[in-house]
Amino acid sequence: MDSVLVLDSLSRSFGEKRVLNELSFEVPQGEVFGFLGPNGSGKTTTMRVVFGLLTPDSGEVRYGGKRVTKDDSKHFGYMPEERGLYQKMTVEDQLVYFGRLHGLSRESAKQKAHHWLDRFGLIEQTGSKIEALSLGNQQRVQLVAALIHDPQVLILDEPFSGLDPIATASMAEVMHEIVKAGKTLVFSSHQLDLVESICEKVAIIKDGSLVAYGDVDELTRGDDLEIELVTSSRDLRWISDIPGVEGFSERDGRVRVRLVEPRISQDLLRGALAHGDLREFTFRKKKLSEVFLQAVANRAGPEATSSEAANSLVNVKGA
Amino acid sequence: MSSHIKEAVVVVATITLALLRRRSLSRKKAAASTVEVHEKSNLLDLFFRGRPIPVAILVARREVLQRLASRAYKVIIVLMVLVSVGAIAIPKIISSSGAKLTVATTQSGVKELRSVTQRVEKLTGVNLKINVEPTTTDVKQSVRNAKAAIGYADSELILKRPFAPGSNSSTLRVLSALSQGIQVEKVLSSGSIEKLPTSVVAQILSPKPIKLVYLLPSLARPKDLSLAIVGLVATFMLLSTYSAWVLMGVIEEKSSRVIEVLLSSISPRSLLLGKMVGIGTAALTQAVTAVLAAIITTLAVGSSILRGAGLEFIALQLMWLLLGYSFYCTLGALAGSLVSKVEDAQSVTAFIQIPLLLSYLASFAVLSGNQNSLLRLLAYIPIFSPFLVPIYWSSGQLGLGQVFLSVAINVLCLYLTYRFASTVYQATVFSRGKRVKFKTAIKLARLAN
Repeated sequence: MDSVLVLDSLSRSFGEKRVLNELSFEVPQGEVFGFLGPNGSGKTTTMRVVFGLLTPDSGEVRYGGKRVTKDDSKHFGYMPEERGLYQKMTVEDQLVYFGRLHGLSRESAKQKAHHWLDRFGLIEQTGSKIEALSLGNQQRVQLVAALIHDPQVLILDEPFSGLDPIATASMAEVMHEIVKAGKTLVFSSHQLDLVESICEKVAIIKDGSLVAYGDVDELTRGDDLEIELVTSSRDLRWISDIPGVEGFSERDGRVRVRLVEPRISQDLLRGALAHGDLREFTFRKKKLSEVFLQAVANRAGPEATSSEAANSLVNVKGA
Repeated sequence: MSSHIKEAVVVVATITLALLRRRSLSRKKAAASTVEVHEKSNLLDLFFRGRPIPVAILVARREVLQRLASRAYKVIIVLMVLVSVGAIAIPKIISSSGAKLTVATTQSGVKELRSVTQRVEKLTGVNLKINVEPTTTDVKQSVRNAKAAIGYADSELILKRPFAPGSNSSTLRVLSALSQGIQVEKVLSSGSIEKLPTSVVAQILSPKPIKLVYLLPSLARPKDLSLAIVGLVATFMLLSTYSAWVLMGVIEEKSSRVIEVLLSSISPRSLLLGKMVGIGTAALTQAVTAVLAAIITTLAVGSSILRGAGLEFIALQLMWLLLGYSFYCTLGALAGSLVSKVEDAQSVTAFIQIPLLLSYLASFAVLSGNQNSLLRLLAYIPIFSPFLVPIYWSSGQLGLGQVFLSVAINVLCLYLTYRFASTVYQATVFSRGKRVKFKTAIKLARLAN
């Protein structure tokens, strides 16, 4: 798939501190893209560079194959990590104001504001002041502010922070809807389970350098040496009798078996079928949080070069 | 007099009712906010006729609407109107009800003065107090030191300075009445009127004015320092308030992170410009409302304060208020750029409060008659000019050419300061944590250029 956004060797320092270090990755068109990293890793700085809010010391950002200019900001929608709304303004006035700053006519801005407010269940709050809304609703209004001018790329910094589970589910649903409409969505979050379920592709950075990049399925795919099974069998000693089984553990009815080599899985399957009702038998996938922790822990340090970063990638696909 | 008071009361009541009505309307509009925004927007769209509206104007419009909706704005505008009305109506009311005026004279002039006092008081409504001095020199000294408004000695009326054209002060009215009264009294005291020849009767009907002696030359303009003092205090209050608005506006936007959303669609320079223009428009609306209230009150009570030079002074004062606002608000924006939290605002208010206070003190030094040439030089320095130029001009110590020179210097410095402030604003817009030092701000501006 074509890349809508390309970050090419971005570096940026604040005084003595190097915040971005030769950072490069691509964001595919029409996907939900997760942009991850521990606190202070340079995510927000990267987003600001993409928007032209900050100028990189070196490197460039390309949108649609061309270097991003100030005019391209109309193609981007941005929702910052800390909410930025005028507390004393009404929801509608605020959204129309942001829409007009992006060049929309008043009528068009109003129409789009009503469309999204309706979609988010906030149409009744049109005339309410922001300060009168709950945090979750303020979050939704903030997202509408980012969507109001119909951007091609939507960049959301921690969109789920402060949301309850229902609001989170609603937000995730809207994000899918945006992507279905052909838009590209880039977002950062520390809720990695959520990222894993929403995103198709992720980039993980640490100290301003890329440490992992690729499809979520690829990154979380295990080494085919761990099997998870659920069986009716109470006596599990038969497992250790199979040659090539390194060890096993059981927790809450789920058995995790470590193999010496992948082909042993066939022997294990036959054994499981012979010793009771087999309900589940799968190669165990890693969780994204494990990938994240591994990638972040493997990283040598802030002084590491881009080539070291490339070598320490958990998985690289299409980079 | 009573009719003037009634008229003044009517004017104040009308303004108050208009403000209350406006408030009531805005509440109704808030209930149907969609209608409200639609109407306001149509005006703007109508002006631009489908062309894209510059983003700075959209920012300015938001600032204006935000100020107009705030309670503080409404309170200040009501107070300003009340002060304007009071400053004009109260002196007028006081002067027309038992004002006093001292006339100094020698022993020989007392008799002539006393013979006309009652008639002059009745005619002018001013109570006269007669101070008797030993010699003519003492009479002149008394007038020169402002212990007496008018002197009378050796058949001459003595004044400190000539009156300004169009003046309608109580001193002028008393002087005129005294001049005629003394002359008539002199003629009458020479014998019975029936025995007088026709030429003398004609002289009584059209008396030859008594010679007037002025102790000091006329000022180029009337020394209307009361108006200058009102202008000075108003300038100080308004500039303090408005520059603080800009300062807080910048910090609030930074601290609430609205700025990140805004800057994804608008440049920092446009944002700063729109903010300043918006707050300035709201501020000038207050100032113009106060001036309009003053004009209406003047017409209602028949005050002379806005006639001739008074009107010129107010026009000059408004122009300097605008220049002063632009300069001090730029300083406010610069100061606001240096911090990122509202609670740190106090640490940068000195950047605007100290220049304001110095200007205020310098103005009072000039008002108290300090002729120091260094003070006069300050009239050309932007932080002082909005305060000093109107005072120097109203006391006739600064000509039109010098006023223009000061304006030119101010405009140039304003441009340079705005450039610097917007560069610092742009460079520090994402700064968080501790206050950015001024030295660092200069460094950032240099890097940006």
